[in-house]
Amino acid sequence: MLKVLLRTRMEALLSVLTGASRTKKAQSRGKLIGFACLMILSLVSLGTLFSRIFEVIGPAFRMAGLGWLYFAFAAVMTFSLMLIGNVFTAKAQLYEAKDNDLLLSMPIKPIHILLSRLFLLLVLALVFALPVAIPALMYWPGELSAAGWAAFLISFFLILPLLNVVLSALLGWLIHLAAARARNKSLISLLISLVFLGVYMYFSFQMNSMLTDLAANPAGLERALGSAAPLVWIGEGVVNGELLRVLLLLAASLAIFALAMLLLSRTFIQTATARGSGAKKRYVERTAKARSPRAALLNMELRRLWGLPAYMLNGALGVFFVVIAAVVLLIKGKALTSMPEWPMLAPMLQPLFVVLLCFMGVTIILTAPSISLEGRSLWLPKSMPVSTWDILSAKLQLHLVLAVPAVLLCAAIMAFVLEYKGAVLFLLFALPTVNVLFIALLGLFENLRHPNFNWINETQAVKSGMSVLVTMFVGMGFSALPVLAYLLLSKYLSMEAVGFGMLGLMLLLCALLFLWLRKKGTALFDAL
Amino acid sequence: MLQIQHLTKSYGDKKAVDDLSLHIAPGEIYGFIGHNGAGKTTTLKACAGILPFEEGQILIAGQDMKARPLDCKQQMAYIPDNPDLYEFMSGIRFLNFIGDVFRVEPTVRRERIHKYAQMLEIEGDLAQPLSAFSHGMKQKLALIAAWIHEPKLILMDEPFVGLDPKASHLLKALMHEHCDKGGAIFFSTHVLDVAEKLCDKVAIIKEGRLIASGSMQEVKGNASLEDVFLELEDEHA
Repeated sequence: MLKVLLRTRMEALLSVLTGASRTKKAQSRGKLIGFACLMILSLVSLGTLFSRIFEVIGPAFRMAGLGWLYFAFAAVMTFSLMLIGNVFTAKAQLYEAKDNDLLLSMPIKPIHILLSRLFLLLVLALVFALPVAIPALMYWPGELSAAGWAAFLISFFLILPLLNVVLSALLGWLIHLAAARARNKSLISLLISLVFLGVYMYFSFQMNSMLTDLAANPAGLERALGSAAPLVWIGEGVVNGELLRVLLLLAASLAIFALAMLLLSRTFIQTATARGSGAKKRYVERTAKARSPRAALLNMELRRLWGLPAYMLNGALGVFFVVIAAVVLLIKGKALTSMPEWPMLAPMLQPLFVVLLCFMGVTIILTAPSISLEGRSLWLPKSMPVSTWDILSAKLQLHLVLAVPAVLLCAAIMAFVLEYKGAVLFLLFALPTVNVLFIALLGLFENLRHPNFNWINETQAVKSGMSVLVTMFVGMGFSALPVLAYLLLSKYLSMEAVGFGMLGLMLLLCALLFLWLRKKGTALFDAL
Repeated sequence: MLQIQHLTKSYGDKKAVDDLSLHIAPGEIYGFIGHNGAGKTTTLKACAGILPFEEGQILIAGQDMKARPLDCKQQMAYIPDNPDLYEFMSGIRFLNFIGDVFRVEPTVRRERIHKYAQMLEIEGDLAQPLSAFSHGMKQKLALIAAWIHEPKLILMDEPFVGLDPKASHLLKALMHEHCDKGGAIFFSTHVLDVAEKLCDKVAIIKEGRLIASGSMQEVKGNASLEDVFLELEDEHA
């Protein structure tokens, strides 16, 4: 039975990731290869970021004779990335899956349901381990013995994922309990998510100074991590080939996993079927303000965003990024532009910030999962007396209403702080705005071509859909295109000319996407 | 009120509805029966403008669904067999959303929500999020949403599933009231006793084809609807 459940879980994951359609057509090989390429590209991008860290600290730690600390630090980084990636997936997979009731009604042991879902988390944890563990190994300047290799593989691809799954499941359980008891579940989930994200962003912002401190003074980290025996065992196991303690740690991890399974299986049914005990909100009869059908559709899309924390966090997080970037620039802008290592970049600083703003705009992805999110309620918009274009344009408007003001605010602050003038000033406002429009149109285009209604919770539709990945990567590619074009054509064209060329290209693509959506897009939606 | 002429709808190579023609006049409660997968839901969804169809014509109050879909939808309401509503909204927000889309004037909307929500005993729950509603409560909310703009035609797919006996009784009364005012109702059901007592006319569908239709008396004669249905099923096997 467990085998069947595991297969179903993997099939469901693949179907959501690759956008299996309602018509149940077999996935084309090209589509699967394309998806695999996108996944590899994401992992390589993340791995490149971590490479920089290990490249800096590796030689310093080796010289200080603190090889064990290098790998202990890598273990902490791996575990943190796994946790950030898995904790909300654990909550959604374990306790909010829409097929829990169905599975619980069948002659299946609850622990098998639990194990099948945890297996998925384990697979994801392994995927998250790759972009940290591989760069850590690549940039270690020393050589590892055969026992060291074994210790590395056991530690990073068995012990850490197992412990991560346990912690993610327990944290997911706590978040679910807290949200279930609250009147406003979405708000609580959102707040907890933002706290997680805040901690993550704090460490990201501090990374540069942390790296400098680590490279200059590894003893500080030694004091901090030296008292954590498992980390010392992992570090020493890899560097010195002391396999025995790593094997002991593996046995302990397996025991902890088994114990956690036992605890979770005892509470699984109760937690997964809990209906919440939040106080009932009293209905007060009042006359509502009338809205036009179009305004009502936009309002509904806003409510959907507000009501689904996963959608808010994954789709609209970029809005927070852009606003935070604007505030940081306003406070620290002058200091940033007068940094001593930047004088040679001075002439390119203004165009680079335009590209940076375009990049930040790509992190706002609201239309790409918007069709999939209709899910089983797709009959509602289709049976209402509103045109298909009105339904689609409400989704576009949601994206634009949130993204454009944030981007324009950031552009205005950039213009003020970096004293933009002339053509570059125009491009500062025009390019990121058109880029936002492009992402909105592209997301809708992609989701109409690859809708997925087979998700078991909204997080799957928002996080893992192929349309989301394609939109993000194409958007990033287009944001980087002006830099590439300038590097190739700088002999013949000025930066401004490249910028205007890019603007023209983006406008042309927007027009083409708009025309496609009006004609073929509406027809595709009608046929869903 | 509803004219279905030579409707054909296929999923790939399979014809789900094959050359189906029906006429539902104002004031009629029209039952639609057939075994699972016979084509009832497909027909209802095509009439509601949810599913496109290849051949035939559907007219709602004289308007062609293909040519003027919005005008057709404005005059009718559809309730699916499984009321999957917007779970991120509260009950009252959902009803106001429907009121906005169908352009129901706010004071009229308020009166109707009050009337139907009180009648179906869910007025006190309207501020709750729909994710906290039971299946039956969602079904009741879908009924209020259908009645809120006083459509001429109401299409319902298995409307009695999930409703408690009192709500079922009230729904039957609402259906009669709607038809007495000149409206029409076209609904599918597997509960043949209910169809027999409630419907003025009935149609039986099998494998997408109409195998019998007409007034209840014409279709069943002196036998029970259940006997006639089973007999017809066997005849066309």
